[in-house]
Amino acid sequence: MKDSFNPSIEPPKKTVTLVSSDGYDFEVEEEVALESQVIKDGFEDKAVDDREYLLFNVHSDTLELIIKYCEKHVSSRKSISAAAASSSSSNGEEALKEWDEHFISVDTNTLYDILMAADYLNIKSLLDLAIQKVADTIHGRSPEQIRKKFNIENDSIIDPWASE
Amino acid sequence: MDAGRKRCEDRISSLPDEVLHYILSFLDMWYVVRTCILSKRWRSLWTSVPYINLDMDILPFYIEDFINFLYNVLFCRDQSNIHTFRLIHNDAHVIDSYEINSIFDCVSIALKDNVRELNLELLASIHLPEIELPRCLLNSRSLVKLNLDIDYDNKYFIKVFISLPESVNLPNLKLLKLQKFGFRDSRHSSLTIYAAQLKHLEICVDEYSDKNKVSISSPMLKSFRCECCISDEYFLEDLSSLDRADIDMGMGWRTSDAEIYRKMMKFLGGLCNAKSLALSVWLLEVLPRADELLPMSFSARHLKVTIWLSKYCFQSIKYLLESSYNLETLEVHINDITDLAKYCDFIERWEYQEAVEVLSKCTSFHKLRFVEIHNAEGFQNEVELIKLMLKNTVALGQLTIGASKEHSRTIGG
Repeated sequence: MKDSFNPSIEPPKKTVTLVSSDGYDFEVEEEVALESQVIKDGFEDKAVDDREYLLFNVHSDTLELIIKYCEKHVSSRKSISAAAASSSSSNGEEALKEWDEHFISVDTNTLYDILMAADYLNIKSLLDLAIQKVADTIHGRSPEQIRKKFNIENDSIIDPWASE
Repeated sequence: MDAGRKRCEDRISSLPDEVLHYILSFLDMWYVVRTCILSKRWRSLWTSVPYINLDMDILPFYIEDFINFLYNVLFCRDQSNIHTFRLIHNDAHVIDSYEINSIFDCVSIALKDNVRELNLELLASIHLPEIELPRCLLNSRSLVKLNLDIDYDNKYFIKVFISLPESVNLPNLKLLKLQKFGFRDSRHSSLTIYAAQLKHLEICVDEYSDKNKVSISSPMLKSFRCECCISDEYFLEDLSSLDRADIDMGMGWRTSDAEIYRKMMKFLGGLCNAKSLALSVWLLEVLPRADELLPMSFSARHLKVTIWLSKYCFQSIKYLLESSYNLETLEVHINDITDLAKYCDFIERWEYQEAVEVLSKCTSFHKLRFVEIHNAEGFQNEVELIKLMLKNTVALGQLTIGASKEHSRTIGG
Protein backbone atom coordinates (compact mmCIF):
# COMPACT_ATOMS: atom_id res chain seq x y z
CA MET A 1 0.00 0.00 0.00
CA LYS A 2 2.77 2.33 0.99
CA ASP A 3 4.46 1.86 -2.37
CA SER A 4 1.57 3.34 -4.23
CA PHE A 5 2.23 6.64 -2.47
CA ASN A 6 5.87 6.65 -3.34
CA PRO A 7 6.24 9.05 -6.26
CA SER A 8 9.65 7.73 -7.24
CA ILE A 9 8.21 4.39 -8.36
CA GLU A 10 6.54 4.64 -11.72
CA PRO A 11 3.27 2.80 -12.06
CA PRO A 12 3.61 -0.23 -14.36
CA LYS A 13 2.78 0.72 -17.93
CA LYS A 14 -0.70 -0.29 -19.00
CA THR A 15 -0.74 -2.77 -21.83
CA VAL A 16 -3.28 -3.83 -24.38
CA THR A 17 -3.52 -7.11 -26.23
CA LEU A 18 -4.15 -6.97 -29.94
CA VAL A 19 -5.23 -10.20 -31.62
CA SER A 20 -4.50 -10.61 -35.31
CA SER A 21 -6.85 -12.25 -37.83
CA ASP A 22 -4.78 -15.45 -37.75
CA GLY A 23 -5.02 -15.64 -33.97
CA TYR A 24 -1.69 -14.29 -32.68
CA ASP A 25 -1.59 -12.12 -29.56
CA PHE A 26 0.45 -8.93 -29.52
CA GLU A 27 0.94 -7.18 -26.21
CA VAL A 28 1.63 -3.49 -26.66
CA GLU A 29 1.71 -0.44 -24.44
CA GLU A 30 -1.59 1.34 -24.28
CA GLU A 31 -0.30 4.60 -25.74
CA VAL A 32 1.04 2.70 -28.74
CA ALA A 33 -2.33 1.06 -29.37
CA LEU A 34 -4.07 4.41 -28.98
CA GLU A 35 -2.36 5.66 -32.13
CA SER A 36 -5.27 3.91 -33.81
CA GLN A 37 -8.34 6.11 -33.65
CA VAL A 38 -10.57 3.00 -33.81
CA ILE A 39 -8.95 1.44 -30.74
CA LYS A 40 -9.02 4.80 -28.98
CA ASP A 41 -12.74 5.21 -29.62
CA GLY A 42 -13.28 1.56 -28.64
CA PHE A 43 -11.55 1.96 -25.30
CA GLU A 44 -13.47 5.05 -24.44
CA ASP A 45 -16.69 3.08 -24.83
CA LYS A 46 -15.54 -0.15 -23.21
CA ALA A 47 -15.22 -1.09 -19.56
CA VAL A 48 -11.77 -0.43 -18.10
CA ASP A 49 -10.86 -4.10 -17.59
CA ASP A 50 -11.46 -5.17 -21.14
CA ARG A 51 -8.02 -4.77 -22.66
CA GLU A 52 -8.19 -7.16 -25.59
CA TYR A 53 -8.87 -6.06 -29.10
CA LEU A 54 -9.68 -8.45 -31.94
CA LEU A 55 -8.55 -7.22 -35.32
CA PHE A 56 -10.38 -9.41 -37.79
CA ASN A 57 -8.94 -7.70 -40.85
CA VAL A 58 -5.28 -7.54 -39.93
CA HIS A 59 -2.87 -10.42 -40.48
CA SER A 60 -0.09 -10.95 -37.94
CA ASP A 61 2.63 -10.05 -40.49
CA THR A 62 1.00 -6.71 -41.11
CA LEU A 63 0.16 -6.11 -37.48
CA GLU A 64 3.81 -6.50 -36.57
CA LEU A 65 4.71 -3.72 -39.01
CA ILE A 66 1.88 -1.50 -37.81
CA ILE A 67 3.01 -1.87 -34.19
CA LYS A 68 6.57 -1.10 -35.19
CA TYR A 69 5.35 2.09 -36.87
CA CYS A 70 3.23 3.19 -33.91
CA GLU A 71 5.98 2.48 -31.37
CA LYS A 72 8.44 4.52 -33.40
CA HIS A 73 6.03 7.43 -33.70
CA VAL A 74 5.13 7.46 -30.01
CA SER A 75 8.79 7.43 -28.93
CA SER A 76 9.86 10.02 -31.53
CA ARG A 77 7.08 12.34 -30.51
CA LYS A 78 8.27 12.14 -26.93
CA SER A 79 11.89 12.86 -27.79
CA ILE A 80 10.89 15.72 -30.10
CA SER A 81 8.77 17.39 -27.42
CA ALA A 82 11.52 16.79 -24.84
CA ALA A 83 14.02 18.48 -27.14
CA ALA A 84 11.62 21.38 -27.66
CA ALA A 85 11.11 21.79 -23.89
CA SER A 86 14.82 22.04 -23.23
CA SER A 87 15.02 24.31 -26.30
CA SER A 88 17.89 22.28 -27.67
CA SER A 89 17.92 21.91 -31.39
CA SER A 90 16.98 18.53 -32.76
CA ASN A 91 16.48 17.06 -36.17
CA GLY A 92 13.96 14.59 -34.76
CA GLU A 93 11.24 15.36 -37.27
CA GLU A 94 13.54 14.97 -40.22
CA ALA A 95 14.92 11.73 -38.86
CA LEU A 96 11.37 10.45 -38.42
CA LYS A 97 10.53 11.42 -42.00
CA GLU A 98 13.52 9.47 -43.19
CA TRP A 99 12.49 6.54 -41.07
CA ASP A 100 8.97 6.69 -42.54
CA GLU A 101 10.40 6.76 -46.04
CA HIS A 102 12.43 3.66 -45.31
CA PHE A 103 9.53 1.96 -43.54
CA ILE A 104 7.15 2.34 -46.48
CA SER A 105 9.67 1.15 -49.08
CA VAL A 106 8.09 -2.29 -49.26
CA ASP A 107 6.78 -4.48 -52.05
CA THR A 108 3.37 -3.66 -53.49
CA ASN A 109 1.55 -6.44 -51.64
CA THR A 110 2.84 -5.40 -48.24
CA LEU A 111 2.01 -1.81 -49.15
CA TYR A 112 -1.65 -2.74 -49.77
CA ASP A 113 -1.74 -4.71 -46.52
CA ILE A 114 -0.41 -1.70 -44.61
CA LEU A 115 -2.75 0.64 -46.46
CA MET A 116 -5.84 -1.47 -45.72
CA ALA A 117 -4.83 -2.00 -42.08
CA ALA A 118 -4.16 1.71 -41.59
CA ASP A 119 -7.56 2.46 -43.10
CA TYR A 120 -9.29 -0.17 -40.93
CA LEU A 121 -7.52 0.94 -37.75
CA ASN A 122 -7.80 4.61 -38.72
CA ILE A 123 -4.18 5.63 -38.27
CA LYS A 124 -4.21 8.83 -40.30
CA SER A 125 -0.47 9.46 -40.60
CA LEU A 126 0.26 5.90 -41.71
CA LEU A 127 -2.64 5.88 -44.17
CA ASP A 128 -1.38 9.12 -45.71
CA LEU A 129 2.12 7.69 -45.91
CA ALA A 130 0.94 4.54 -47.71
CA ILE A 131 -1.41 6.40 -50.02
CA GLN A 132 1.23 8.93 -50.95
CA LYS A 133 3.44 6.00 -51.92
CA VAL A 134 0.75 4.54 -54.22
CA ALA A 135 -0.04 7.97 -55.69
CA ASP A 136 3.66 8.56 -56.42
CA THR A 137 3.64 5.34 -58.43
CA ILE A 138 0.73 6.55 -60.59
CA HIS A 139 2.04 10.09 -61.02
CA GLY A 140 3.63 10.79 -64.38
CA ARG A 141 3.14 7.26 -65.73
CA SER A 142 1.27 6.35 -68.88
CA PRO A 143 -1.84 4.16 -68.46
CA GLU A 144 0.06 1.20 -69.92
CA GLN A 145 2.86 1.63 -67.38
CA ILE A 146 0.31 1.92 -64.57
CA ARG A 147 -1.40 -1.30 -65.70
CA LYS A 148 1.92 -3.09 -65.69
CA LYS A 149 2.93 -1.72 -62.31
CA PHE A 150 -0.33 -2.71 -60.60
CA ASN A 151 -1.19 -5.80 -62.65
CA ILE A 152 -4.40 -4.21 -63.87
CA GLU A 153 -5.93 -6.25 -66.65
CA ASN A 154 -7.37 -4.15 -69.43
CA ASP A 155 -10.91 -5.47 -69.82
CA SER A 156 -12.21 -2.42 -71.72
CA ILE A 157 -13.47 -3.17 -75.21
CA ILE A 158 -11.81 -0.15 -76.75
CA ASP A 159 -8.29 0.56 -75.73
CA PRO A 160 -7.03 3.82 -77.20
CA TRP A 161 -3.50 2.95 -76.11
CA ALA A 162 -3.48 -0.50 -77.70
CA SER A 163 -1.93 0.72 -80.94
CA GLU A 164 1.13 2.01 -79.12
CA MET B 1 2.79 -21.18 -55.65
CA ASP B 2 0.35 -19.24 -53.54
CA ALA B 3 2.76 -16.35 -53.16
CA GLY B 4 3.35 -16.36 -56.90
CA ARG B 5 -0.33 -16.03 -57.65
CA LYS B 6 -0.64 -13.28 -55.10
CA ARG B 7 2.06 -11.32 -56.86
CA CYS B 8 0.11 -11.26 -60.13
CA GLU B 9 -3.13 -10.25 -58.51
CA ASP B 10 -4.60 -6.84 -59.25
CA ARG B 11 -5.07 -5.70 -55.69
CA ILE B 12 -5.34 -1.98 -56.31
CA SER B 13 -8.59 -2.40 -58.27
CA SER B 14 -10.15 -4.34 -55.42
CA LEU B 15 -9.66 -1.48 -52.97
CA PRO B 16 -12.92 0.21 -51.96
CA ASP B 17 -13.95 3.34 -53.86
CA GLU B 18 -13.26 5.65 -50.93
CA VAL B 19 -9.68 4.43 -50.62
CA LEU B 20 -9.10 4.78 -54.37
CA HIS B 21 -10.60 8.27 -54.25
CA TYR B 22 -8.22 9.07 -51.46
CA ILE B 23 -5.29 7.83 -53.54
CA LEU B 24 -6.47 9.94 -56.47
CA SER B 25 -6.78 12.97 -54.19
CA PHE B 26 -2.98 13.04 -54.02
CA LEU B 27 -2.79 13.42 -57.79
CA ASP B 28 -3.37 16.23 -60.20
CA MET B 29 -6.73 16.02 -62.02
CA TRP B 30 -4.83 15.63 -65.26
CA TYR B 31 -3.58 12.22 -64.11
CA VAL B 32 -6.80 11.35 -62.29
CA VAL B 33 -8.91 11.55 -65.46
CA ARG B 34 -6.43 9.43 -67.38
CA THR B 35 -7.06 6.49 -65.06
CA CYS B 36 -10.45 6.04 -66.78
CA ILE B 37 -8.88 3.93 -69.54
CA LEU B 38 -7.09 1.51 -67.20
CA SER B 39 -9.98 -0.94 -67.03
CA LYS B 40 -13.76 -1.14 -66.56
CA ARG B 41 -13.31 -0.81 -62.81
CA TRP B 42 -11.62 2.56 -63.30
CA ARG B 43 -13.78 3.91 -66.11
CA SER B 44 -16.16 6.02 -64.06
CA LEU B 45 -14.24 6.07 -60.82
CA TRP B 46 -12.79 9.55 -61.44
CA THR B 47 -16.23 11.10 -62.00
CA SER B 48 -17.01 10.80 -58.30
CA VAL B 49 -13.63 11.81 -56.92
CA PRO B 50 -14.40 14.51 -54.35
CA TYR B 51 -11.00 16.18 -54.72
CA ILE B 52 -10.13 18.33 -57.70
CA ASN B 53 -6.54 19.54 -57.86
CA LEU B 54 -5.36 21.31 -60.94
CA ASP B 55 -1.92 22.78 -61.03
CA MET B 56 -1.53 24.59 -64.32
CA ASP B 57 2.22 24.85 -63.90
CA ILE B 58 3.12 21.18 -64.02
CA LEU B 59 2.44 20.60 -67.71
CA PRO B 60 3.52 22.82 -70.58
CA PHE B 61 0.06 23.47 -72.01
CA TYR B 62 -1.75 26.63 -72.89
CA ILE B 63 -4.05 28.11 -70.30
CA GLU B 64 -7.07 27.71 -72.59
CA ASP B 65 -6.37 23.96 -72.77
CA PHE B 66 -6.46 23.74 -69.00
CA ILE B 67 -9.64 25.76 -68.87
CA ASN B 68 -11.32 23.55 -71.49
CA PHE B 69 -10.15 20.53 -69.58
CA LEU B 70 -11.58 21.95 -66.37
CA TYR B 71 -14.96 22.63 -68.02
CA ASN B 72 -15.02 19.06 -69.31
CA VAL B 73 -14.16 17.64 -65.92
CA LEU B 74 -16.94 19.61 -64.26
CA PHE B 75 -19.52 18.63 -66.89
CA CYS B 76 -18.58 14.94 -66.87
CA ARG B 77 -18.58 14.61 -63.10
CA ASP B 78 -21.46 12.73 -61.53
CA GLN B 79 -22.55 15.81 -59.50
CA SER B 80 -21.48 14.25 -56.20
CA ASN B 81 -20.22 16.69 -53.59
CA ILE B 82 -16.78 18.17 -54.00
CA HIS B 83 -14.67 18.20 -50.87
CA THR B 84 -11.66 20.11 -52.14
CA PHE B 85 -11.24 22.29 -55.20
CA ARG B 86 -7.73 23.56 -55.72
CA LEU B 87 -6.55 25.59 -58.66
CA ILE B 88 -2.97 26.79 -58.99
CA HIS B 89 -1.41 28.98 -61.61
CA ASN B 90 1.85 30.73 -60.80
CA ASP B 91 3.47 30.52 -64.16
CA ALA B 92 4.90 33.58 -65.88
CA HIS B 93 2.34 32.98 -68.64
CA VAL B 94 -0.21 35.42 -67.33
CA ILE B 95 -3.94 35.04 -67.44
CA ASP B 96 -6.00 37.62 -69.28
CA SER B 97 -9.46 38.79 -68.33
CA TYR B 98 -11.28 36.33 -70.59
CA GLU B 99 -9.38 33.47 -68.98
CA ILE B 100 -9.88 34.63 -65.44
CA ASN B 101 -13.60 35.00 -66.07
CA SER B 102 -13.66 31.44 -67.40
CA ILE B 103 -11.85 30.24 -64.31
CA PHE B 104 -14.34 32.01 -62.07
CA ASP B 105 -17.11 30.49 -64.16
CA CYS B 106 -15.65 27.04 -63.40
CA VAL B 107 -15.50 27.93 -59.72
CA SER B 108 -19.19 28.86 -59.84
CA ILE B 109 -20.05 25.53 -61.50
CA ALA B 110 -18.01 23.64 -58.92
CA LEU B 111 -19.69 25.49 -56.07
CA LYS B 112 -23.02 23.98 -57.13
CA ASP B 113 -21.56 20.68 -55.91
CA ASN B 114 -21.11 22.05 -52.41
CA VAL B 115 -17.38 22.60 -52.32
CA ARG B 116 -16.09 22.52 -48.75
CA GLU B 117 -12.52 23.65 -49.28
CA LEU B 118 -11.58 26.06 -52.03
CA ASN B 119 -8.06 27.12 -52.81
CA LEU B 120 -7.35 29.55 -55.65
CA GLU B 121 -3.80 30.65 -56.29
CA LEU B 122 -3.58 32.63 -59.49
CA LEU B 123 -1.13 34.97 -61.10
CA ALA B 124 -2.95 37.42 -63.31
CA SER B 125 -1.91 39.87 -65.94
CA ILE B 126 -1.39 43.57 -65.47
CA HIS B 127 -3.65 44.27 -68.41
CA LEU B 128 -6.66 43.07 -66.53
CA PRO B 129 -9.41 45.42 -65.63
CA GLU B 130 -10.79 45.13 -62.16
CA ILE B 131 -11.73 41.56 -61.36
CA GLU B 132 -15.02 40.75 -59.82
CA LEU B 133 -15.28 37.59 -57.80
CA PRO B 134 -18.34 35.43 -58.42
CA ARG B 135 -21.18 36.28 -56.06
CA CYS B 136 -21.84 32.65 -55.22
CA LEU B 137 -18.28 32.34 -53.94
CA LEU B 138 -18.71 35.05 -51.35
CA ASN B 139 -22.11 33.87 -50.18
CA SER B 140 -21.54 30.14 -50.21
CA ARG B 141 -23.16 28.05 -47.50
CA SER B 142 -21.01 24.99 -48.12
CA LEU B 143 -17.54 26.50 -47.84
CA VAL B 144 -15.58 25.58 -44.74
CA LYS B 145 -12.13 26.68 -45.89
CA LEU B 146 -11.38 29.40 -48.38
CA ASN B 147 -7.99 30.55 -49.55
CA LEU B 148 -7.89 33.29 -52.17
CA ASP B 149 -4.47 34.27 -53.35
CA ILE B 150 -4.68 36.21 -56.59
CA ASP B 151 -1.49 38.01 -57.34
CA TYR B 152 -0.45 40.22 -60.21
CA ASP B 153 2.56 40.21 -62.35
CA ASN B 154 3.98 43.38 -60.85
CA LYS B 155 6.96 43.89 -63.09
CA TYR B 156 5.71 47.35 -63.96
CA PHE B 157 4.35 48.22 -60.56
CA ILE B 158 0.90 48.63 -61.94
CA LYS B 159 -1.63 47.09 -59.67
CA VAL B 160 -5.12 45.99 -60.47
CA PHE B 161 -7.22 44.95 -57.57
CA ILE B 162 -9.79 42.34 -57.00
CA SER B 163 -12.89 44.13 -56.05
CA LEU B 164 -14.69 42.62 -53.18
CA PRO B 165 -18.33 43.40 -52.52
CA GLU B 166 -19.16 45.39 -49.44
CA SER B 167 -20.07 42.32 -47.49
CA VAL B 168 -19.13 38.68 -47.49
CA ASN B 169 -21.45 36.19 -45.87
CA LEU B 170 -20.08 32.70 -45.35
CA PRO B 171 -22.07 31.10 -42.55
CA ASN B 172 -20.16 27.79 -42.32
CA LEU B 173 -16.68 29.06 -42.99
CA LYS B 174 -14.04 28.07 -40.43
CA LEU B 175 -10.88 29.23 -42.19
CA LEU B 176 -10.46 32.27 -44.41
CA LYS B 177 -7.28 33.46 -46.05
CA LEU B 178 -7.44 36.55 -48.21
CA GLN B 179 -4.09 37.30 -49.72
CA LYS B 180 -3.20 40.58 -51.34
CA PHE B 181 -6.67 41.85 -51.85
CA GLY B 182 -7.32 45.51 -52.21
CA PHE B 183 -9.87 48.01 -53.32
CA ARG B 184 -9.41 49.94 -56.44
CA ASP B 185 -12.02 52.52 -55.81
CA SER B 186 -11.69 54.47 -52.59
CA ARG B 187 -15.45 55.02 -52.44
CA HIS B 188 -16.06 51.31 -51.98
CA SER B 189 -13.09 50.50 -49.84
CA SER B 190 -15.00 48.82 -47.09
CA LEU B 191 -15.59 45.16 -46.46
CA THR B 192 -17.69 43.46 -43.84
CA ILE B 193 -17.05 39.81 -43.13
CA TYR B 194 -19.95 37.89 -41.65
CA ALA B 195 -18.80 34.45 -40.66
CA ALA B 196 -20.35 33.16 -37.48
CA GLN B 197 -18.29 29.95 -37.42
CA LEU B 198 -14.96 31.45 -38.42
CA LYS B 199 -12.02 30.18 -36.36
CA HIS B 200 -8.97 31.22 -38.38
CA LEU B 201 -8.62 34.41 -40.34
CA GLU B 202 -5.65 35.61 -42.33
CA ILE B 203 -5.88 38.90 -44.16
CA CYS B 204 -3.09 40.29 -46.20
CA VAL B 205 -3.95 43.62 -47.74
CA ASP B 206 -2.27 44.68 -50.91
CA GLU B 207 0.51 47.12 -50.14
CA TYR B 208 -0.64 49.50 -52.85
CA SER B 209 -4.10 49.92 -51.50
CA ASP B 210 -4.65 51.87 -48.35
CA LYS B 211 -7.28 53.41 -46.13
CA ASN B 212 -9.24 50.21 -46.33
CA LYS B 213 -12.05 49.62 -43.90
CA VAL B 214 -12.64 46.08 -42.78
CA SER B 215 -15.24 44.97 -40.26
CA ILE B 216 -15.04 41.55 -38.73
CA SER B 217 -17.58 40.06 -36.45
CA SER B 218 -16.71 36.49 -35.49
CA PRO B 219 -17.36 35.43 -31.91
CA MET B 220 -15.69 32.04 -32.55
CA LEU B 221 -12.45 33.46 -33.96
CA LYS B 222 -9.39 31.74 -32.47
CA SER B 223 -6.53 32.99 -34.57
CA PHE B 224 -6.21 36.23 -36.46
CA ARG B 225 -3.31 37.18 -38.68
CA CYS B 226 -3.35 40.50 -40.38
CA GLU B 227 -0.91 42.18 -42.69
CA CYS B 228 -2.12 45.66 -43.37
CA CYS B 229 -1.17 49.31 -43.57
CA ILE B 230 -1.30 51.59 -40.57
CA SER B 231 -3.78 53.73 -42.48
CA ASP B 232 -6.31 50.88 -42.68
CA GLU B 233 -9.22 50.86 -40.36
CA TYR B 234 -10.43 47.69 -38.69
CA PHE B 235 -13.62 47.25 -36.76
CA LEU B 236 -13.33 44.18 -34.62
CA GLU B 237 -16.51 43.19 -32.93
CA ASP B 238 -16.85 40.56 -30.27
CA LEU B 239 -13.67 38.56 -30.71
CA SER B 240 -14.29 36.99 -27.33
CA SER B 241 -12.63 33.61 -27.96
CA LEU B 242 -9.49 34.97 -29.60
CA ASP B 243 -6.35 32.97 -28.82
CA ARG B 244 -3.69 34.33 -31.10
CA ALA B 245 -3.41 37.61 -32.91
CA ASP B 246 -0.50 38.45 -35.14
CA ILE B 247 -0.58 41.99 -36.48
CA ASP B 248 1.91 43.12 -39.04
CA MET B 249 1.35 46.74 -39.98
CA GLY B 250 3.32 48.35 -42.75
CA MET B 251 3.92 52.00 -43.45
CA GLY B 252 1.42 52.44 -46.22
CA TRP B 253 1.52 55.56 -48.34
CA ARG B 254 0.00 58.21 -46.15
CA THR B 255 0.98 58.24 -42.52
CA SER B 256 0.76 61.78 -41.30
CA ASP B 257 -2.95 61.54 -40.70
CA ALA B 258 -3.85 62.26 -37.08
CA GLU B 259 -6.78 59.87 -37.38
CA ILE B 260 -4.36 56.97 -37.63
CA TYR B 261 -3.62 56.91 -33.92
CA ARG B 262 -7.29 56.80 -33.04
CA LYS B 263 -7.81 53.91 -35.48
CA MET B 264 -4.84 52.03 -34.09
CA MET B 265 -6.02 52.37 -30.51
CA LYS B 266 -9.40 51.05 -31.56
CA PHE B 267 -7.79 48.17 -33.41
CA LEU B 268 -5.69 47.23 -30.38
CA GLY B 269 -8.76 47.47 -28.20
CA GLY B 270 -10.43 44.83 -30.36
CA LEU B 271 -7.58 42.44 -29.64
CA CYS B 272 -7.67 42.72 -25.87
CA ASN B 273 -8.97 39.14 -25.47
CA ALA B 274 -6.07 37.48 -27.29
CA LYS B 275 -4.02 35.11 -25.15
CA SER B 276 -1.03 35.52 -27.40
CA LEU B 277 -0.32 38.78 -29.15
CA ALA B 278 2.33 39.60 -31.75
CA LEU B 279 2.81 43.19 -32.87
CA SER B 280 5.03 44.50 -35.60
CA VAL B 281 7.57 47.27 -35.54
CA TRP B 282 5.70 50.04 -37.35
CA LEU B 283 2.72 49.70 -35.07
CA LEU B 284 4.94 50.11 -32.03
CA GLU B 285 6.86 52.96 -33.58
CA VAL B 286 3.76 54.93 -34.51
CA LEU B 287 1.43 54.13 -31.62
CA PRO B 288 3.07 56.34 -28.93
CA ARG B 289 2.75 59.37 -31.20
CA ALA B 290 -0.90 59.53 -30.28
CA ASP B 291 -1.84 62.42 -28.02
CA GLU B 292 -2.61 60.00 -25.28
CA LEU B 293 -2.44 56.26 -24.92
CA LEU B 294 -5.83 55.16 -23.72
CA PRO B 295 -5.88 52.89 -20.69
CA MET B 296 -6.61 49.33 -21.80
CA SER B 297 -6.42 45.90 -20.32
CA PHE B 298 -5.04 43.10 -22.45
CA SER B 299 -5.43 39.54 -21.31
CA ALA B 300 -2.40 38.33 -23.26
CA ARG B 301 -0.06 35.94 -21.47
CA HIS B 302 2.41 35.92 -24.31
CA LEU B 303 3.52 39.08 -26.03
CA LYS B 304 5.81 39.12 -29.04
CA VAL B 305 7.06 42.47 -30.23
CA THR B 306 9.35 43.41 -33.06
CA ILE B 307 11.09 46.68 -32.28
CA TRP B 308 13.75 49.12 -33.18
CA LEU B 309 15.82 50.35 -30.28
CA SER B 310 13.99 53.64 -30.44
CA LYS B 311 12.31 55.83 -27.90
CA TYR B 312 8.86 55.23 -29.36
CA CYS B 313 9.19 51.46 -29.47
CA PHE B 314 10.34 51.47 -25.84
CA GLN B 315 7.36 53.64 -24.98
CA SER B 316 5.08 51.09 -26.65
CA ILE B 317 6.65 48.25 -24.68
CA LYS B 318 6.15 50.17 -21.48
CA TYR B 319 2.54 50.86 -22.36
CA LEU B 320 1.85 47.23 -23.31
CA LEU B 321 3.50 45.85 -20.19
CA GLU B 322 1.52 48.17 -17.98
CA SER B 323 -1.74 47.29 -19.74
CA SER B 324 -1.31 43.49 -19.71
CA TYR B 325 -2.19 42.19 -16.30
CA ASN B 326 -1.66 38.48 -17.19
CA LEU B 327 1.59 38.73 -19.05
CA GLU B 328 4.10 35.94 -18.41
CA THR B 329 6.28 35.82 -21.50
CA LEU B 330 7.81 38.71 -23.37
CA GLU B 331 9.48 37.98 -26.65
CA VAL B 332 11.45 40.87 -28.13
CA HIS B 333 12.78 40.74 -31.67
CA ILE B 334 15.16 43.55 -32.46
CA ASN B 335 15.04 44.81 -36.03
CA ASP B 336 18.01 46.00 -37.96
CA ILE B 337 18.42 49.71 -37.46
CA THR B 338 19.18 50.30 -41.14
CA ASP B 339 15.49 49.66 -41.88
CA LEU B 340 14.65 52.62 -39.73
CA ALA B 341 17.31 54.79 -41.30
CA LYS B 342 15.46 54.53 -44.63
CA TYR B 343 12.60 56.46 -43.11
CA CYS B 344 14.68 58.99 -41.25
CA ASP B 345 12.71 61.91 -42.65
CA PHE B 346 9.65 60.52 -40.94
CA ILE B 347 11.19 59.51 -37.70
CA GLU B 348 13.04 62.06 -35.65
CA ARG B 349 16.40 61.14 -34.35
CA TRP B 350 16.28 59.39 -31.07
CA GLU B 351 18.74 59.11 -28.27
CA TYR B 352 19.85 56.07 -26.36
CA GLN B 353 19.45 57.88 -23.11
CA GLU B 354 15.88 58.90 -23.82
CA ALA B 355 14.86 55.37 -24.75
CA VAL B 356 16.36 53.91 -21.59
CA GLU B 357 14.75 56.57 -19.44
CA VAL B 358 11.36 55.59 -20.81
CA LEU B 359 11.78 52.00 -19.79
CA SER B 360 13.29 52.70 -16.38
CA LYS B 361 9.97 54.30 -15.45
CA CYS B 362 8.14 51.12 -16.28
CA THR B 363 6.82 49.38 -13.20
CA SER B 364 5.41 46.23 -14.74
CA PHE B 365 8.45 44.05 -15.26
CA HIS B 366 8.03 42.19 -12.01
CA LYS B 367 5.27 39.89 -13.28
CA LEU B 368 7.28 38.49 -16.17
CA ARG B 369 8.40 34.88 -15.95
CA PHE B 370 10.06 34.35 -19.31
CA VAL B 371 11.90 36.90 -21.38
CA GLU B 372 13.41 36.24 -24.79
CA ILE B 373 15.49 38.74 -26.70
CA HIS B 374 16.34 37.88 -30.29
CA ASN B 375 18.77 39.45 -32.76
CA ALA B 376 20.67 41.34 -30.09
CA GLU B 377 23.44 43.43 -31.62
CA GLY B 378 25.17 44.39 -28.40
CA PHE B 379 23.97 48.00 -28.37
CA GLN B 380 23.94 49.98 -25.18
CA ASN B 381 20.13 50.06 -25.22
CA GLU B 382 19.94 46.30 -25.18
CA VAL B 383 22.29 46.04 -22.27
CA GLU B 384 20.24 48.62 -20.39
CA LEU B 385 17.05 46.77 -21.25
CA ILE B 386 18.44 43.50 -19.91
CA LYS B 387 19.77 45.21 -16.80
CA LEU B 388 16.36 46.69 -16.08
CA MET B 389 14.71 43.34 -16.50
CA LEU B 390 17.10 41.58 -14.16
CA LYS B 391 16.68 44.30 -11.57
CA ASN B 392 12.91 44.53 -11.68
CA THR B 393 11.59 41.09 -12.47
CA VAL B 394 10.81 39.13 -9.34
CA ALA B 395 9.34 36.03 -10.91
CA LEU B 396 11.75 35.71 -13.83
CA GLY B 397 12.49 32.05 -14.50
CA GLN B 398 14.30 32.20 -17.79
CA LEU B 399 16.03 34.86 -19.83
CA THR B 400 17.07 33.90 -23.32
CA ILE B 401 19.22 36.13 -25.45
CA GLY B 402 19.93 35.32 -29.07
CA ALA B 403 22.50 37.35 -30.92
CA SER B 404 21.90 38.47 -34.48
CA LYS B 405 23.34 36.32 -37.22
CA GLU B 406 26.14 38.72 -38.02
CA HIS B 407 27.01 39.08 -34.41
CA SER B 408 27.13 35.40 -33.65
CA ARG B 409 29.46 35.08 -36.58
CA THR B 410 31.87 37.55 -35.00
CA ILE B 411 31.65 35.72 -31.71
CA GLY B 412 32.26 32.45 -33.48
CA GLY B 413 35.26 33.93 -35.25
